[in-house]
Amino acid sequence: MHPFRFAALCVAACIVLVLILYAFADKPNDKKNGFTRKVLPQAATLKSSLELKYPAYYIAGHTGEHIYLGNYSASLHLLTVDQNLKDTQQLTLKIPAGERYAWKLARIMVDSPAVYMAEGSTPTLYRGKLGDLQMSRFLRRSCFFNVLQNVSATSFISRSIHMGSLGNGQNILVKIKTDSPYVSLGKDVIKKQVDGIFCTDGTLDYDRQTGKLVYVYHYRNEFIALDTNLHTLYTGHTLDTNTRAKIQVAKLPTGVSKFSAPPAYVNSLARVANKRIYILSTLVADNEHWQARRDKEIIDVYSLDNGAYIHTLYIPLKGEGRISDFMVKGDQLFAVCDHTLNAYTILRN
Amino acid sequence: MLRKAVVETICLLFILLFVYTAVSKFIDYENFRAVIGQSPLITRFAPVLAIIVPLAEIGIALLLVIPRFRRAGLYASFAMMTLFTVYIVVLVTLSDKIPCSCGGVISIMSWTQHLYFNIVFVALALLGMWLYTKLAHV
Repeated sequence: MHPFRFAALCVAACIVLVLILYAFADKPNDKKNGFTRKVLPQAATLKSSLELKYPAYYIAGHTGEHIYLGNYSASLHLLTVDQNLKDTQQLTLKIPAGERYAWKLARIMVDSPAVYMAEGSTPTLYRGKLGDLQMSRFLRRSCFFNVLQNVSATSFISRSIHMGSLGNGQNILVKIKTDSPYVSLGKDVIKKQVDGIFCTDGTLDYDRQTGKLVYVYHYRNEFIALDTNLHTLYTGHTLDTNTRAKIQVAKLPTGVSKFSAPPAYVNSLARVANKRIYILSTLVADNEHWQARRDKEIIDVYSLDNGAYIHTLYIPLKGEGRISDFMVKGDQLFAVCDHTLNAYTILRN
Repeated sequence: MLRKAVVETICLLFILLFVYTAVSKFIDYENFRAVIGQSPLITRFAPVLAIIVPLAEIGIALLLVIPRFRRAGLYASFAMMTLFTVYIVVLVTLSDKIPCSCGGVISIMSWTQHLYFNIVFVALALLGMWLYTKLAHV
C-alpha cells in the first residue's frame, strides 16, 4: 500500500480505537450515584482573591486576624495575609544552621502563639513562636508518621503505619505527648478494608472549640469523630453509597504498593469549624447536573455533634484551578485554588 | 545512497527505541502493569496489555532487523507510534492527569515532552516508509 494512504488510514483507525476505549471507560459520575443533596442557593459568594506568586501553597493555620500559608516546595517559607486578603507578608522560619530534615515532607502548623514544623519520615519536629520564628527541635521521642495534627502545646495526633505480625502495614492514629508515655496507639480507630494503607487514607482535622478530632476517609462514605485520647465518639456517614473503598492496590516485589486502577475518590478534603464538618465531595448527586462540578466545588456540611447531614454549599470557582486546600473561619471560607487564595462569605443558618 | 543511509538510521533508531522500552517494561513488569491499570482507558485490559505491548515492540524490532520484512517493520512502527500518540492526546485532553510507565527514562518526560517525542518518531516512521517505497521503485 502507498505509504501516505496507509498513514492516513492508520491515523483514522487509531483515533477510532482510542475513542471507543474512551467511550467504554469508567468515568466518575457517569452513572447515578444514588443520593440527593439539599443545596442552599447562593450560599457562598466570592469576596476577594489574592494571586499567589508560586504554586503549591497550603493553609498552615490562622490567628484572629491573619491567615498563614505554607508551601510544599519551600519548607521554611510562610506567607501571611489578613482576612481581607490584603497586607501580605513573607516570613521565613529560622532553624539552627546545619540541621537536616526531609524538607519536601515538612509541614508548618500555626497555632498562635506557637508555630510548628514537622516531618514524619525522620521524624523531626520543630517548635517556635510566631513572634520571632526561631525554631528549635523538640519532642525527640516521637514516632514515624505520615500526617500530623497539633492538639495542644504538649500533644499531637499523628497517623502512622503500624506493622502487623505478618509484615502488613496499616494506618493507625497515634497520640504523641511531650511527657510519658510519649506515644500511645489508638488501636482499631481506623478500619482496614482493602490493603490497610491506601484504603484508610483520609483527612484529619481538629476543632479547638470543642476538642474533637475528625477523620474523614477518602474512598468510603465514612468519618469518625474522636476525643483527644483517641476514643471514638461516633462514626458518621457521608451522603453517598460507597460503604467500601473502590480501589485496587498492587504490591510490587520491591515492597512498594501502587494503585492498579484509578481510585474512586469520595471525599477529597475535610475541615472542622463552627461545630460543623465541611467535606469537599467529588461525587455528583442525583438531583444535580452531571457536570455540576465543572465550575464549582461541592461542600457538604455535617453537624459535629452527631454527624448528621445539614446542607450543601456550592463554592464557585474562577478559572481552571480546583480547591487543593481550604479552611472555614466564622462565616468566611478561604480556599487555595492553583495560584490563588480565594475568600468566600458563606451562609451559616 | 543518502536515502539508504537515512532509512537505515531510522530503522536503527526504532530498533533501539522498541528494544529499550520493551526490556524495561519486562524488567519492571509488576510496576508497569499497576501503572497502566491506573489509566481509565485501559484499566480492564491492563494485565493483557502489559504483556502484549512489549511483545509487539520486540516483534516490530525483529521485523526491522530482517531486511525482507523491513518495509512491514516500518509500517508497523508507524502504526504503533500513531496509536501511542493518539492515546496520549485523548488521555491528556479528555481525562484527568494520569501517570505513565512507558519504560525507563522515557517515563521521566512530561506529557508535552512525551507528545513532541512521539510526534518526531511518527514523522520519522513516515519518512522511512516513504523513502523505502521510493528506493524499492528505483
